[in-house]
Amino acid sequence: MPQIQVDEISKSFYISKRKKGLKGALKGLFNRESMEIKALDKLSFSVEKGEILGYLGPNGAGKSTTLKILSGILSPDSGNCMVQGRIPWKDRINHVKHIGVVFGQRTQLWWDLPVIESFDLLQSIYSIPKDRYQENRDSLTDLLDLEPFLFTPVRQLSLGQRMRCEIAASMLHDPSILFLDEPTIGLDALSKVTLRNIIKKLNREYQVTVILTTHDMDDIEALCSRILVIGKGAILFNGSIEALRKQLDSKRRILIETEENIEQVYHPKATLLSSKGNRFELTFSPREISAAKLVGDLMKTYSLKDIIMENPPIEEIIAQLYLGQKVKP
Amino acid sequence: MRAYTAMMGAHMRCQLQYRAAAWAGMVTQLFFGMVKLMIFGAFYQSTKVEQPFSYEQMVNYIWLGQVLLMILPFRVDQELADLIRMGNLAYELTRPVKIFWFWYVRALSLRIVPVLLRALPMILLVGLVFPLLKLNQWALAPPVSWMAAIVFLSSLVLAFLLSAALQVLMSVTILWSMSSQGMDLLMPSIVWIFSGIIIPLPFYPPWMQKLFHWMPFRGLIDIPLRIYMGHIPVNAALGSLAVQLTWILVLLGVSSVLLKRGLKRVVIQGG
Amino acid sequence: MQNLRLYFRLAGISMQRQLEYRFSFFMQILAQFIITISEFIGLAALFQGFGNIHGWTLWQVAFFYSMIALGFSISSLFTRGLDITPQLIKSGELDRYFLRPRPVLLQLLGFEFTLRRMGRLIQGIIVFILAVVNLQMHLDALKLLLILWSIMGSVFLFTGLMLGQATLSFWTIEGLEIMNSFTYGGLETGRYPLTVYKGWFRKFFTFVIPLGCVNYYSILHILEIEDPLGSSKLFQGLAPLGGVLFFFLGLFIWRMGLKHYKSTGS
Repeated sequence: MPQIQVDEISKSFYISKRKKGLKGALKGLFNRESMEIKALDKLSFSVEKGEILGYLGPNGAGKSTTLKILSGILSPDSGNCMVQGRIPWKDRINHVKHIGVVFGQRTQLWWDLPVIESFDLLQSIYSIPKDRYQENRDSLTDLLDLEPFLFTPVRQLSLGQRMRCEIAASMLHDPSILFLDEPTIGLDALSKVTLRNIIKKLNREYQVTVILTTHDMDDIEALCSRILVIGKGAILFNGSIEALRKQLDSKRRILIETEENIEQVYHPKATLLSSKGNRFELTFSPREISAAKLVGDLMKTYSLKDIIMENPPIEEIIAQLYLGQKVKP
Repeated sequence: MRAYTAMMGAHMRCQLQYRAAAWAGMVTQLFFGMVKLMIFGAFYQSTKVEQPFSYEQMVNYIWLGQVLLMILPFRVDQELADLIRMGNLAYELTRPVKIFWFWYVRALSLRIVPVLLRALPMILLVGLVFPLLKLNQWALAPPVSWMAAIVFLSSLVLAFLLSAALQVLMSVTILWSMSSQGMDLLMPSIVWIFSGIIIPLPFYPPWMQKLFHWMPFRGLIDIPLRIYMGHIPVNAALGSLAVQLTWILVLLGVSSVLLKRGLKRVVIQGG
Repeated sequence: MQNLRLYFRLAGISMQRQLEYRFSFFMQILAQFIITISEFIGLAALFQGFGNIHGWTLWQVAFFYSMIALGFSISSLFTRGLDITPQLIKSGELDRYFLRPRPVLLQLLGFEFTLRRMGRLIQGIIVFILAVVNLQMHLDALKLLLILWSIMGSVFLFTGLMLGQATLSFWTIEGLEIMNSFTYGGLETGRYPLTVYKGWFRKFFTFVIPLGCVNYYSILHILEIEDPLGSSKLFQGLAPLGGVLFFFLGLFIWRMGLKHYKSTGS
């Protein structure tokens, strides 16, 4: 049985509409219409222990609603959900003992306290046994390199430092699942790379399952064994990045440079885009011919000095998905 | 000029959206009005000594006070305070308008809209419905004369201008202390007592009344209300209006100078 | 038990935090003291003009006034978290409280032990002493016990009201001002003996919100005054129990609110 099993979960919200202008505002004093918004529409998926799942979707697609349901803050209108045999919203206190949550845009630490005191407080809140706590704290301090600012008040930390502390804070009680909601938001390039390495290490060393939402595709490529893309409350794609690449009918580009000057490069399954001296740019569709076959063919016909294969940026693929191109797995 | 009226219009529309707040506020203000009426009613029943107001005047004073409650600058403009604290003042400086007047019209709408939203239904209730229900001893009576009504309205306009001037002064002081907490704590207390909203100023001992006399706060509640009920007669009212006007000018002057200096400080600090 | 320990831990940290800004801390206490004491000066000024209210003297009323002030201010020391629940909901921060394996209410109460609200408490104590001295009361053990019991009742009552206010914020944030009628309105109402109010109003503040139980009736017993409304001594002594019961009602409503929050998320 998978660690997380989500079955046909639906959730709607009602928001009130306001009319424009002074008249509308005055009218609104007495009555308001409300509108139903389907945040989740029969969503189903599962997650195995030890996975790093990338959870993607445009703003308002229902990502945070899903996270809230999985972490027991929200109950769905219909559908079932089991996390390690628990129904999250039915048994909140017992459930949250086994999960860790980091919101990139908010803090769970005490603003005015030194980092270490926040950790101590969390020990009390989660009732972590003393030796277990000390062991975890020390190893996390090591792993995340928190030593230099362990005694600094949280408000004085840089965003990158704070994010590392947030992650450590959410790991103190040995959760088996870690929810990371946009953990790299607003970080500089170096901090992002550091954080990705940390997440990888945690996943490896603590066997913690990670569910990660992000808008940064580099996070996804660096970390996720599988991605789940949702839009308007329903799943658009569920699989590996490679599978996504293959499934989307996007053309790929290949750049070649030949040894000798020739007029033209020809292959029946590829189209020549441009040529400049002995450099040629071709496109092909991976559905008609695999990249390996094409390169093999070209090498047989021409003597090649250099080959550059370009993947379409993952961002473009995802953007295509968001635009409504539903892909069949 | 258009920039300021547009700003004021937009800000007023934002305020108008707080429907539930307006209803809840009205109910609360009516509730407090009732409690006060009963307490003062009991006080008046217990004495034969002449009081500064008659009971009928007191009823008017209590209701008008509840109706106009939101005129009082209870707290710092939180949005503006956050803007200053977060160091986002620079955005304000990029706009081609005078910040001071921008803040002033903002403060005006902050004071006017809540009163307008709540005043009409409340006046209808205590001025018209109560007499119909034969609750005459609890009803708001009209001003004592047409002249009193006109002078009251002018005094009320001045009270709004004065309140907004105090509000701007509060906002400006944040530039200096960078914390709105002190102001947020002090202002309500001062305003509660010195405006005459809890207990009408003429009921305090003479030495305290002297103190109130030299403060701007009586221009918010005490002056307009006593004009309405004829406690300040029309011919003496002009002097009171002059007091309100003087305070408006003084406060505006002080806060515009403070703002100019404060902005320089903030700009130099790179806030 | 563990929860209680955690509460003291959280409260202790919040105090430590508040004491870090020592100057502003003392200023805040002083400011609140000045505000509240001038409210009492206003009350005294009225008695100077009117002499009495339905036969009650200044110091009798001052005793009512101080008792309700003590209950209100003690409750307000640890209900700051309930006060700011609407802000926590608005900013989404309340979700964090749900993510921790402890009762949400406990965490909210532990949010802050608001020392600056001591200003009102100090005022209450001063007015209380003034009233006791001026009334030449003899405080024996039974009376002291009744005083404590009565204050405890009003602490429970006001905390119950704050629970109601926080619960309401799960449904509406704008409409919360209505609760001021009962919290601050209760404080205002409790300053005078119930007899100055109309009958329907007295009933409301006895049976719906048992303010009279924690204040008027028990105080009559303490002041040894025959009730003009005709209540018995036994009832007067038991009356503060109403505040405790009211608190449990508030707790029940709070639980319902939590359920609602879980199903709508706002």
